Amino acid sequence: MPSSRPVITSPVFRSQGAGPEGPCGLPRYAELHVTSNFSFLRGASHPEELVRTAHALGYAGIAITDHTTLAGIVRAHGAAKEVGIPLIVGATLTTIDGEALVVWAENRAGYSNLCRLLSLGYGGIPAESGQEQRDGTAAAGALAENEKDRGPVSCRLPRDMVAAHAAGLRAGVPLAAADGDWRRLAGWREVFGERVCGLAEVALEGDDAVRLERFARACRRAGVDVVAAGDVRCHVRARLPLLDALTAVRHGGTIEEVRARLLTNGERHLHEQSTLLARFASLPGAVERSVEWAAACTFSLDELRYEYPDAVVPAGATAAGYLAETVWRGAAKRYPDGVPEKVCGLLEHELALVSELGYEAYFLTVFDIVRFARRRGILCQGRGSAANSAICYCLGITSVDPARMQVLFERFISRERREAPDIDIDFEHHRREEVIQYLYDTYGRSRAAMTAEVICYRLRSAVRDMGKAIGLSLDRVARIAEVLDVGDRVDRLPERLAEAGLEPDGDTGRRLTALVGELIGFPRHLGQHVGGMVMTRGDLCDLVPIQPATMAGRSIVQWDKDDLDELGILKVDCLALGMLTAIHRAFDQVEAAGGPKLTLATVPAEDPAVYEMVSRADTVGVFQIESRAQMSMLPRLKPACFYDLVIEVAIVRPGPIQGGMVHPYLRRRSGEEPVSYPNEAIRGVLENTLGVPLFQEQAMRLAVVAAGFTPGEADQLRRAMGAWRRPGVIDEFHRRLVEGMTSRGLAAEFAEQVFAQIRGFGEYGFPESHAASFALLVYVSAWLKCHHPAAFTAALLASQPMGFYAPAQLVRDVRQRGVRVLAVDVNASAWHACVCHRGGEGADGSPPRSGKGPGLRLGLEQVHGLGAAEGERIEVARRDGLFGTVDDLARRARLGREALLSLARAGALASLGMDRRRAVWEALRDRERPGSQPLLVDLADDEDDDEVELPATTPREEVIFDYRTSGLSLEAHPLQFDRAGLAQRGVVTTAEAHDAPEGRCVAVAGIVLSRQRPSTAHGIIFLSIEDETGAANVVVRPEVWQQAEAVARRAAAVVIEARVQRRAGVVHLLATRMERLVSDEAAGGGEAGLPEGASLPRMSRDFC
Amino acid sequence: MPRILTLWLPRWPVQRRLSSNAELRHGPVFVCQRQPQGAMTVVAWAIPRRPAAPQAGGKRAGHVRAGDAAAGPATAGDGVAIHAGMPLAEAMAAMALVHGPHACRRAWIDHDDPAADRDALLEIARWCRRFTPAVAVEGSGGDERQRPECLHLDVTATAGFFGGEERLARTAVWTLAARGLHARGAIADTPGAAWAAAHHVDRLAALAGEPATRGRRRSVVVAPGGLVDALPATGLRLDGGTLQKLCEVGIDSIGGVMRLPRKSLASRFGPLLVRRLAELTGERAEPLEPLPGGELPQASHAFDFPLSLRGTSEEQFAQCLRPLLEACMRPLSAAGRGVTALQVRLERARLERARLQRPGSAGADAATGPAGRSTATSAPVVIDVGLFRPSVAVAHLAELIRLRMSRMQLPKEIDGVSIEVVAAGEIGSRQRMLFGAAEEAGDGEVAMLLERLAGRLGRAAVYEPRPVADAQPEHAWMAVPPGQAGRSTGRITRVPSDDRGSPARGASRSAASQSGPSPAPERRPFWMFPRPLRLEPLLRGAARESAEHRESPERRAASGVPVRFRYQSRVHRVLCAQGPERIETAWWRGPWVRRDYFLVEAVVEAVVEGSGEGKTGGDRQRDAGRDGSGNVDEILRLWIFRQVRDGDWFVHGIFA
Repeated sequence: MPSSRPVITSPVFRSQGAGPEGPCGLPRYAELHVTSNFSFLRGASHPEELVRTAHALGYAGIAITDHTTLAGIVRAHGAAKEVGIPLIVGATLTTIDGEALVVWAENRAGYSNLCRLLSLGYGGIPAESGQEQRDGTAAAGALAENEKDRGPVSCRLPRDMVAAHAAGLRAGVPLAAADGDWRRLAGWREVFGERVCGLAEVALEGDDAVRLERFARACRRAGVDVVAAGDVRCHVRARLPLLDALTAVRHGGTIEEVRARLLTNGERHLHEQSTLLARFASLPGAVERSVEWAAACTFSLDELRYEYPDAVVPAGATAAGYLAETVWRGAAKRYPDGVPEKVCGLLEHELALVSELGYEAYFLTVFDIVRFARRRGILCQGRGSAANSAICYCLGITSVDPARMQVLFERFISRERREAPDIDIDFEHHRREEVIQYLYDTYGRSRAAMTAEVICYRLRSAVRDMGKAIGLSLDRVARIAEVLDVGDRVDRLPERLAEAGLEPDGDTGRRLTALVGELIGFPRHLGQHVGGMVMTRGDLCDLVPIQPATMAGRSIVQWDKDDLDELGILKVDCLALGMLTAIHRAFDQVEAAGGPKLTLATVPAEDPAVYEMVSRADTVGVFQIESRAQMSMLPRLKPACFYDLVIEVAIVRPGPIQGGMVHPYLRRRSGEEPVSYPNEAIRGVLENTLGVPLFQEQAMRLAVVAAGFTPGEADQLRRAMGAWRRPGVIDEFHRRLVEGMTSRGLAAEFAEQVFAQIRGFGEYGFPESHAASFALLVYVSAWLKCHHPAAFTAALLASQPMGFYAPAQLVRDVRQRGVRVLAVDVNASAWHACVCHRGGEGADGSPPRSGKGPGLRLGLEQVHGLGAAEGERIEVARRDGLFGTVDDLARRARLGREALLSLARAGALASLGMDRRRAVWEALRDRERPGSQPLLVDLADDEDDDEVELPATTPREEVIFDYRTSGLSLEAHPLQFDRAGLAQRGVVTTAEAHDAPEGRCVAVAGIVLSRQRPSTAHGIIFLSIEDETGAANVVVRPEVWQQAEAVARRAAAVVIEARVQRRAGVVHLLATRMERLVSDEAAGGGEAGLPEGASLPRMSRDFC
Repeated sequence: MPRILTLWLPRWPVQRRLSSNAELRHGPVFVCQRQPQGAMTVVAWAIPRRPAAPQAGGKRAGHVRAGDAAAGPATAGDGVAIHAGMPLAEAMAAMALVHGPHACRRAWIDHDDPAADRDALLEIARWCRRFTPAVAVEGSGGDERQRPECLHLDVTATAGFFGGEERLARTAVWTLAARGLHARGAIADTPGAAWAAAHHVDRLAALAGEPATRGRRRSVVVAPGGLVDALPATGLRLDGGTLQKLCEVGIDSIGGVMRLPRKSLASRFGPLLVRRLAELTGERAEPLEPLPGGELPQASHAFDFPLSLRGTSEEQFAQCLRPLLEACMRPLSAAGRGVTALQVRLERARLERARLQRPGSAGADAATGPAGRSTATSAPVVIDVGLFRPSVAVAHLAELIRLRMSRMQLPKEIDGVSIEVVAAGEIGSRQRMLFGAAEEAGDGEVAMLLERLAGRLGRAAVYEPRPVADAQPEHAWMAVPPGQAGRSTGRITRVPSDDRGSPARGASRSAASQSGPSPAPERRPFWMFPRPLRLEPLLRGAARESAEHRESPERRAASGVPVRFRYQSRVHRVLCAQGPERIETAWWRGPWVRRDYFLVEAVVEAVVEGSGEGKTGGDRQRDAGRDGSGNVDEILRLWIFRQVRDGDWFVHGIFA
């Protein structure tokens, strides 16, 4: 969204425009050649700004003609509809021989041709049948070329390709006042006939009179119309600096360096009509003709009719009939004991609404995808608002039982909205690509593509680009970018500039701030949406241009999800969820270890042991509730049933936190505050959450029962929550809510409170349905952790990177539960970590089961630098027997020196009977192609090795080795070796700190595990550190953080002085000072100048 | 066994810059390299000591001394942990951690220039030939080290002349120190051993049982047959990967490596390690490559008695220089080369030097000893002469030297004078054309004139303008050294940007369509004033419309070009005007420039008498008119503009 609306200073509505030629008030100019900022780095205004300004100036119409893209057209369309000005859809093309051409869509056919032309130019779709062979390879070539240079994809348009798609398009040739003009005009006239014109564009360049005369002459000679246009790049003159800066960015230099390419003045903005009339006075009719040409292009995006693919319905059945049949069949399966009455009612209601709105095909398509995933054994689960639908539950798309939850179908599909329902499905992370490729296969490249995501300039990227453009040195730019925090807004920029040593009030500082302020929110490039797939019945490229994504094998449409929403185009979000992968793996591990075969549905429900564990905040690795914030909430909430988990998932979110709902809820839950409801209707809505609205649905229902909104209006309210900051919107709803409630006899105070709470959802709130979907995964993962810790940890390790914790913490956690963890070993480990049996061999050994439950064998994937293919070769080769020597291993598993070294460094060769140094020594030997280099034969040694005496490894070295090569150590904690020195300095362990009384000042040391800066925490940083006794949560106030920023940001290990704070059994350390931990030995090691050899690597996962 | 002196100039890239620019010593210096991805990484750096404890010298605290550079590879400057290859931003942050954020603001950051580093090191190497003829820059013998920081000198035969090896090593280090360079020196049997020793002078001294010197010990001699086993393995001149591997198997000293079975080393650590060991022990000879590039001639003359410059006329002094110059030019001209830069050194008279020298000041170590005989510690007066094109003309060079000397403060008396050719280039042998001889000669004369001018005014004062594409007319040119205007400097190249001229110029059309149209040359006046001159409009309104410049009356009214205006005390009547050409630019370098330019044709209607200045201006104008067409009512074509901000009018140029 644009960050600012255009500021139009004194728009003159045709004040002087009424000349002698036309009746007063008749708009007489339409701008036909406009470049918006969706022509990346070429335009300096948002499409909305251009459209609104054109309307304010009284234009008869405006075209948006971006460079080979229609990406900005939907936004322009929305704005044009809002203000009521005709929008002409078009694009600026450049043929491969360099001719520029502006084209506009006359009608639907022309629009299709334009989309198809652009798609072909980008190589986003295979060429049409008939020419398949020739152009297919051409398209593939274009794709490959685009992938090669990795730059922005380019659109290659041969002239005859343009000619082949000329039907329904009008064209304008920007004139150059040169001798070749008429020839170009005549050439395009052969293609477009009467539908081509010359675009006369002048911009006070000194010889305008001469140019206009030449334009006229060229057009006369070629026999085409001459039409006035502006080659507009920005909506107001004031954007010239930004345009200059963008030009510099585009050419990769500073403004000073690209001076030759800058515009010499800011005339290429939207002018008042009187100015234009004067400017084109010597070209009579040129201005008026622009209106005629605009009027001839009647196509509007409203004409697009989206049709959902219908391939999934079996022959002879209607979509509606098939859907109903499938739903009832599914319902019978879901409720073996008979479908509850409530659900029956819901299903009938929903089916009626679906068939009324014609969404049957959509549900069936999603059903088809889910069915495909199930067939392949891919875990999947719908999330988001789809869980509000009983149909989705019965089709197996979601897992939240509508019999147990209140569902609000209007949240999902509403009659008022008449807009696409949105079903998001999570798939196992590493198998989602199968689903996406299934869709491409089923629908074909020309009918399926992914949604684009418009990547916009944010503060940091804007500062980087603008800083370079105005000539700041690279290191200065890097320095500024570094001091910027993710959450910073523009208004903090001056402060940050000062921090980086740039005077914010100096010329440069002010220029930078102004440019950055304008640039933020500008589109930067088209990325690929995480999972949104668009599919159509007809060709998708008739609807929107398709271009290849940067990722191989993917193509994207040029619109993002808001654009698709605006035009009512349905999409399915196929998302990837790492936890589903982990759960699937854990199920497999449990089964492999002789346990039962589990599915999401067969995990025993409501196990008290699980809730007891969760209440202790013993949730490292559990989905969603493992973060620091969640863990500190758990002991206060003490979840005891599934619905408590739903609340837990939803409550630690910015929405409820900022709406001030968390503390009232906690107080009421602990009985400190009475629960009361103003009336029974409200009790019905809020009873589940003790009178505090925690979910979006509750806000909506509250609006219905308390303020008299219709369900559709309530949904508008929800949508407006996302746009709270826009002025006007919020006031309107505020008035209606408060008036509605007071007129129903509710206290104004209560109404204001409800409003404040609803307003909180504007930040970020969870719908109940979504929270419920997630809570199910929370429960399943907690159950696995509780009952099968080894299998669960193995699965988590195999699914890294995931969640908040690094392997070291996961392993520490599982060891604390009494699971024995075995080190990586070439003779025992599989690629992934797996469950093994005490004293047993490993995944492929025979498991002699003894006593105390399974252990965990770390996988070869833990070894840094070892590839999956090499790991697989080791596993395969081991089937013929264990490895005896390094040579044996190298030969049978065909491992190169680097792989052997990685294994040796990680200590994975221990079972070959040698310590780590010896193993490295062995691995170092050059085994590549022995014998092929006769000269080296002399150098090859086999016997002498026994004589080598290598120094023994100290325990500390072992641990550092472990951390450097696999990120964790089973031997000891690195801090253990510094403990004596630390104790002398008065530094205590984290365990001691946890036992310290409230308010006591302590000093602790630890490895930094994570840094987080939640947007709700007013700049406070949360640090977790770990020493050999455990982890501690450190709260760092901004002022402390700033004092020691460099330490805080990058040190691997820190010493922190802090005050102990305890609340409801959770201990926080409030930092007052922090510094880098320099261990004595590491400091000594530096002297030899060895490259970082003995120091600890940085381990933390940072979210700030 | 030969004896090799290795001189190590730690962090040479920084030292080189510090030695040429004393101001840099006040703040941190970073020499950086741009990585292909655009990130900047540190190559070399120096950070001033924190002015914590006031030292004896008081004032010197807080300055970068090149000596800080040798404090240790991993930590320099109060434990700031920076290593080569670190991202610049990170290095700055690490420094800020210790020295506070203000240190970052003072930091001076320069781009890496290995070629210049190498050239400067070669220069030092040449200078070192005073110790022995066999001097080599490390790595010149096919070595893999990319950034040489060391010089190897074969002092087998020459040490005796300097009072023994200890003394020679000390002398070499301290004479370099007198030139502002920090060096460490070590003498050993092989270049490898000397290299290792030079890099660990302190360690060796400590092993020999000397008291800790805290980095002040700068030279060491390893006795013939002596070992350097105890030194760290980094002394072996290995790449980081090999060192890392050695570290992993627990080997950290040279001795440790030596004790490993030699046979098994090559296949594990690569042939380099084996070669280095062999070089260290002398099993493999490492011949010193002679300095590259051939010898540039030099010549010197020592006077029997100090020569008083006061009492010597310029001509007499030129007579002294002549033979020296001739001696230098002879070998050059034989090779078809000419000098492009030369250095004249005037050795201060020893008496004067003695007066200058305070007892106990720096250099006491070397200069006062007997070995200091040949090494002047008070710097000679150096005159650098640069030429725009190679030359061997002795008279011309002598004149250039004279011109330079006339602008310098010279010592009263000198002991000797020497001339060294610093750079030479090919004298282009152009094919002479039958009728082109005159032009050729003229060309050469222009060059000589330029050099004379440069000699008198300074090189910066002589330049040649070159057009640059910039919308603001007074910025549309830049000054370049003479003779280079035709060449591309690579930085700013003129872009043929008027795309309207060639619409079908290929794919660049789309790029060019955004680019600003730079004006056609015919729309710029031939004579442009350095500063616009104000003109005073007398009557606004529509001027008569001329036939060739048809303009709509509406437009004229809008543009508001004055019909009559006063400029340089004369009233002009505008016949016709063409324009406007609007220029809006320059916001990124200062205030906005917003102007509407017009090309007007005007005639002088009346001369306003009165002001003397106006009269002269008018006279000149009249004269100009007579010289031209002889018509006083000649039509003037002026380039005028109106400032959009306040509507003031100016004349900016005159079309021929």
